Amino acid sequence: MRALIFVAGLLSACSYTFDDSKTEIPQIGTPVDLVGLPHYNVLPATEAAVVVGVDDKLWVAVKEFGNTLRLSLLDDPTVQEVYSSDTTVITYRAIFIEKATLSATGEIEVTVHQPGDSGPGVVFDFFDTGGLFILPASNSAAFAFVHGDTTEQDVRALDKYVLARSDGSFTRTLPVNFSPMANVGADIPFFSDDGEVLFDLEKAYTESPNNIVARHTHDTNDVSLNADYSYVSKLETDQMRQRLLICDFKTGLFAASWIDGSHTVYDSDPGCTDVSIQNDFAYYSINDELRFVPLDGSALPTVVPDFAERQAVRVLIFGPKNEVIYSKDSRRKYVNGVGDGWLGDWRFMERGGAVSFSNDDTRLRWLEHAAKPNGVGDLTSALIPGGSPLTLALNVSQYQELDDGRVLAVADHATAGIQNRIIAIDEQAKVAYYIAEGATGYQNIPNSNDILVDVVTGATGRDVVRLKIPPKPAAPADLGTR
Amino acid sequence: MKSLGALLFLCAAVHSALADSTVGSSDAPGKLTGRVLERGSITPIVGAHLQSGDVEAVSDEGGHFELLLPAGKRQIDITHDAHLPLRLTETVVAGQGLKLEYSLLKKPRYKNKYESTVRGQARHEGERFTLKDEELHQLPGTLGDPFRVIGMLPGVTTPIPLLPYYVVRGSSPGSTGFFLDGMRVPQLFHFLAMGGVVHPQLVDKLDFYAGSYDVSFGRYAGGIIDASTRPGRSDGQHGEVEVRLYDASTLGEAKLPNGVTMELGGHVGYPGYILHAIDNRIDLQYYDYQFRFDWKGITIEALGSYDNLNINSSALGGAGAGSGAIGQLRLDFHRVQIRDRERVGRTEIESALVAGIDEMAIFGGQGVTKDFIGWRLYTTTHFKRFRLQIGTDGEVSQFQASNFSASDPRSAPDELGDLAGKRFGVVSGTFAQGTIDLWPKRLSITLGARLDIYHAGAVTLLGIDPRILAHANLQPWLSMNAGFGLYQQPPSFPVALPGVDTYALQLGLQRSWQGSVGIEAKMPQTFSLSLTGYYEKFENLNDTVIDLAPSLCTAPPPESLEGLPATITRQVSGQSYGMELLLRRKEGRVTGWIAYTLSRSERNFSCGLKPADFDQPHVLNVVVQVRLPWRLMAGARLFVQSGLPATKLDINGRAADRNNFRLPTTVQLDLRLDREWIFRRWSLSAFLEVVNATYSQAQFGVSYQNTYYQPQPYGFNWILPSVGLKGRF
Repeated sequence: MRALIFVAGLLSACSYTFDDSKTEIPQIGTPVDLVGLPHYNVLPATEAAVVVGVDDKLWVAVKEFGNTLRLSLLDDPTVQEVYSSDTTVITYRAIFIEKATLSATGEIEVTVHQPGDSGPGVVFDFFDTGGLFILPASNSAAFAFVHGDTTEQDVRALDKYVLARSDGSFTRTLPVNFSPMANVGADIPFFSDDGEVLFDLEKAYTESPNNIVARHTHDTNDVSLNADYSYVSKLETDQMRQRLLICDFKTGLFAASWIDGSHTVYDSDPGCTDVSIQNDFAYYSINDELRFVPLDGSALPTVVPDFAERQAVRVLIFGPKNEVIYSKDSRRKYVNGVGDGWLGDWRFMERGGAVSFSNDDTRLRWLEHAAKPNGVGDLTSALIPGGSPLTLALNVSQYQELDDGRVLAVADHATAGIQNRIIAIDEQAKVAYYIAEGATGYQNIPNSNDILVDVVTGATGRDVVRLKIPPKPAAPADLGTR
Repeated sequence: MKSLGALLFLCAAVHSALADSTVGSSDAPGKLTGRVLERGSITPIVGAHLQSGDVEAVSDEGGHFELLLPAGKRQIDITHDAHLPLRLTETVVAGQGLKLEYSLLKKPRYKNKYESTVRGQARHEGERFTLKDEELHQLPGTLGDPFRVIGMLPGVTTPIPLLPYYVVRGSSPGSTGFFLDGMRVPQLFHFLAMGGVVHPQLVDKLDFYAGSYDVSFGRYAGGIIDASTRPGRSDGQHGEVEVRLYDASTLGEAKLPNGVTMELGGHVGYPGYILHAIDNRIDLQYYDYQFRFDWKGITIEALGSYDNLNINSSALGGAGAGSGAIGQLRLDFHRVQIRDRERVGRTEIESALVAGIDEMAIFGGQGVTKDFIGWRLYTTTHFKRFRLQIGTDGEVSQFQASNFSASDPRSAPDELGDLAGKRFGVVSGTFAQGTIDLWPKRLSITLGARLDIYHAGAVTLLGIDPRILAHANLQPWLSMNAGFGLYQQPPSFPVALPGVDTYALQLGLQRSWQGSVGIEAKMPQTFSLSLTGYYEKFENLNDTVIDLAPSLCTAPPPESLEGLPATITRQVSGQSYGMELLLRRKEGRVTGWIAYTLSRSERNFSCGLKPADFDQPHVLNVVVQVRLPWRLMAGARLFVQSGLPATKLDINGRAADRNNFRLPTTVQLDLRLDREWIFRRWSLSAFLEVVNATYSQAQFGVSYQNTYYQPQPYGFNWILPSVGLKGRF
């Protein structure tokens, strides 16, 4: 009898789970077999990007473990160029290859190379003992090479940076007026979109008054923009008018020409804290108000109604009809600019970021609960206005809407690992199609519907493969649920 | 006793009469009064026997005595069971009184035959390792902290030798439960690695259950560490102050009227001042406190611990990184418990109410606070051949996210994921078990089950854990223990932290099926030898990984976790099995043990069953304490442990396998020397301890420099010296 009781006891050993918190979108289907796809790397990759070659064909540049840089023609991975590099900066139109020479003076050689170019590229020899970083213009037309004397502990000894045209047509050396150790975006200089001008933010280590100087990359002409950087809240480039839009807490919103330094004052009210350019209008925050003004100066500033009354602090995005999606949380409340999200009186987001409109403008999507250093959040969607939030996927690091209406997302990405996956979410059908497993991220391949996928391959690296996104299935009926 | 008193009275009367009749005569008695105290303290000795010739006296509750002795030089013998005898000569002057104070030296514990541990007193069943006294407070390698002894016990591995972070029988480190006087405590060490959070002298006993314990312990899937404090001593007032290299502690004990005793103690750490002298961008503070009040069966306790570390950002980022703190690492908890122990007829009842506050913040200031109220009611009813235990315990808690940083405006509350979610948590358990003596004094069986319920947010979990234990005395010198059962635990963080529990219940319960069989033989010269074999099967275990890099062969983090919990938590199944051999001597001038554990811990990774990240098959601890003349005590500990497993990649940097090679074996020697000087009313102790005197390297991972096929173990050589002085009365 006792034995029976014991056996009954053992059989009753169990646990029960009652869980009402599960996500509403099941992930179904079979992922694409990535093994058979062409790899653009041999050793595990640490970074990859699509680059335009000299013949305007697309290449894939891959940094591999062990200082190897491998360039492969996108359409034919067997066509390769392989380089050895200490540091590599990959931009869309050029690759900057930094390599220490073996000379006693410790010179550094920087080569600007475009894939497919059979020549040696444009070679720069720098004299210092330690390159800190290469700062390229977005169009790769120019770059700044910041370097230092590693025998000096004081960063003020880092007194030089080289400003150069990438084709080698012009080079000039300038004093460092910024902190090389600062976070990018803080007081690091930046280029105009066309790479013609570098905006040097004289601030930290000079005795001169804080000032923004436009340093030209074709000649030694420097244009003082007469803007005291200590009061600048935000800068935006108005490339069309070759002006820098300056949101200044002290003097308001104005633009300074990087050609002649002349100012165009849009709003002289002090207290400007944020500015962004939307449809040739500047939207800016002054004294708790959101105002907008045409960049051509054709009209006076206009106050966006109710912005201050709603205690809005900043604009997150603008809608297709210039609807203002705003946040009441300051940009610095949470990491990565995360905050709440509002449309009118509708608070759709509690603490998130990466807000976007759906292609048909009927929905908002965002990454909820993304106040983490890596910015990963739960992909959420809601009908405009006032719809209930629908969680599409957890731990999403990247998403975009495809032409067929599905949302492509890298999910289960709380941390990098084999669990990362690319899924395509069909909101209407409330299913997510499993696209690739072990995928930590992707990038779009221009002029194509394909994507370049990073696939976990080892302890420290990943494989880079090209993936054609499977078409949207007609119906998800008989696919197994994962 | 009465006749002795009458005799004394008669003698005194006769002497008095003679004295009255012969004033100034040399035959008149002298009167000796005074107290008998324990040497090195102000503790009176009750029942000390004083004798001079035919005249005897016994000290009373205050240690007072009175002797009437004839004039002249008189030899007096003072004896007491627990103390060394004292013989001395006093000069008695006729007709005069003499006030005296005698101090008896306490017998060394190894000479005291009147103290022993009775097995039946334990309130929990199961094979355990019990530690008391010098084994708790003066073992080499422990820095005097009782809880560090855990790392020297059979079945325990220490993945990072410097840190008191223990893996019990191959389970997850977060599966081990810590209890102090029945309360669950979230951390045992300041900053998880420094001194203990309870004054060492308050800890009276520590029971370590590696596995297969009874149902009175619940909600843990691994081992149990059950420590108990002692009440204030009822023999008088005591106090002590200890100063060590990095902290100071004090403990006071007061005996009050009506049988009330009280204790108050605590630590204050000052490693921050030392660090601050080296680098003023680092601020580190910690303290703890304990208060205990006892009256009859009622005990009121309050205890807590506070750790705070601030690091200025310029410490990390150089001149350009700006200023201000990057935030706090903060751990603190506070507990108040009211406990009553009563006996009503055949039934012993223990009831307790506990309330507490836990706070935890990681760097950046993000953290969580937990407020809770808990309860406990255990009853044990004794019948002739049967013992019935019924009990319930649980707690209701409220968790909420907090930002403890005063200086960093950009907070990342979601980094803590489920840990910081605002929620109410309820955990409650009920158990019943019966122990029947099938063959009185030879064979007993304990059969029981517990039911636990857990609730937080939208998830409720229910667990039923049946367990069976057996104890057999095969011979007067040979006994056997066996146990089998299910041990379930809600999702747990790999490291026990304040405020981190009752979260992510959607992961389901962790399950561990545990079975063990052990024999213990009593041997001559107070030696004992035990051998235990065990097997544990893990399901849904919340493990952690040391190698956090992405790998093809791994256990991915649970999909529903976010942030930090997802980064380091792995939900896996697996198993562990092994054998623990223990040769121990608890009494005598030379004590200690040799513990050898041979084990294997495995996990089901995506590429199959592989060694767990904490698998360390061989662990040898040789611990020796020798009581030398001149109140010296020397101790040494030899610690040999297999290296951690690590993953070696192929030449292309891919890892199709996991934990395919092993880091070098750890060999560590710890030394300790204690010396005590006993003065009349106080004593002074000094100790010198060197942990890892061999300056061995702690290795806990690999990195790859330029080639994948040449992993470079990373670790560091270390040595930890400590000195301390302690005065007490």
